[in-house]
Amino acid sequence: MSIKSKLSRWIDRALRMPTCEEIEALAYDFLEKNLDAKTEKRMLRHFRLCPPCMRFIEAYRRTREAGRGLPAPKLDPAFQEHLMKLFRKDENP
Amino acid sequence: MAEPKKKFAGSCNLSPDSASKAEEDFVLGLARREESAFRALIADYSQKLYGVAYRFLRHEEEAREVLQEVFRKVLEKIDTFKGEAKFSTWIYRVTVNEALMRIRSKRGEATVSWEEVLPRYEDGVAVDPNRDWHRLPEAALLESEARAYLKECIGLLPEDYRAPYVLKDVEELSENEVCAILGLDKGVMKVRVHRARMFLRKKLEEKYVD
Repeated sequence: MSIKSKLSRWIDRALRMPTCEEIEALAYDFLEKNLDAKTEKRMLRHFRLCPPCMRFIEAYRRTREAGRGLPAPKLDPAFQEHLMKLFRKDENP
Repeated sequence: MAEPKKKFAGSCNLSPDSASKAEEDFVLGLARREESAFRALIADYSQKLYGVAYRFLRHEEEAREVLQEVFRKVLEKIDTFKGEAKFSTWIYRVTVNEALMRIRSKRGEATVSWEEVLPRYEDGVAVDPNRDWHRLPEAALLESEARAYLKECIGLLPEDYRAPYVLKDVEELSENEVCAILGLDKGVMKVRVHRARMFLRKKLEEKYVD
């Protein structure tokens, strides 16, 4: 086990913080604000001490933001009228 | 002249009781073949459902075909709608199923090597350093070129991951709505959305982050 790993495990145990792996597993619920206050606080403490996880959660957040409301092409009003005609046809076959 | 648009649960801020009554009236209107109800259906859902179908199929003509089929099915099956789910959940489900059916019939299933996408850990510690997105301006991913790239990448997701991702992150539906539309357990839905985000994060990072 590398010194980095040993040190990280020692810090995790000492501060009862989630590991980097657990941070990833909790990332979805963290962003969706599904976590209880205690777990969220532990995650925030981990972020303060772990720059790679800080970078990870920032990237994860930005990815989610990028997808929000991604525009789709506008539907032609003529097609909406076409749908209306289908309805009338269905009503009076 | 067009009749005034009917208000119903999917289109306005009503209290739960009045929203439910409005939805009931709306569904009844559709079942009775009232033109105003169908016009309201088109006004409130055609663009949204077209967007969903387009994001699945990435083809405007096919998305329009899906939309037409969905509206045809609504007319055909509205009598069987019992109100066990919200009307919006029901019509989203019809749309997603129709779009997925087309994907399955016409294209091979996309696959992703999750081993390449998901981070590796050693004793709970990430092995690969994460790239620093702080230097990437917040607006960069909202520009049209980046959005077009993201759409392309969404199209590379396997359908099991694309469907919950599109509904949750792009359409911004609630977790409960996504689960109801796709018939997924919440845990499964979360894992799939998470993995889809991880895949897209990697794709965006490779292209935009040094």
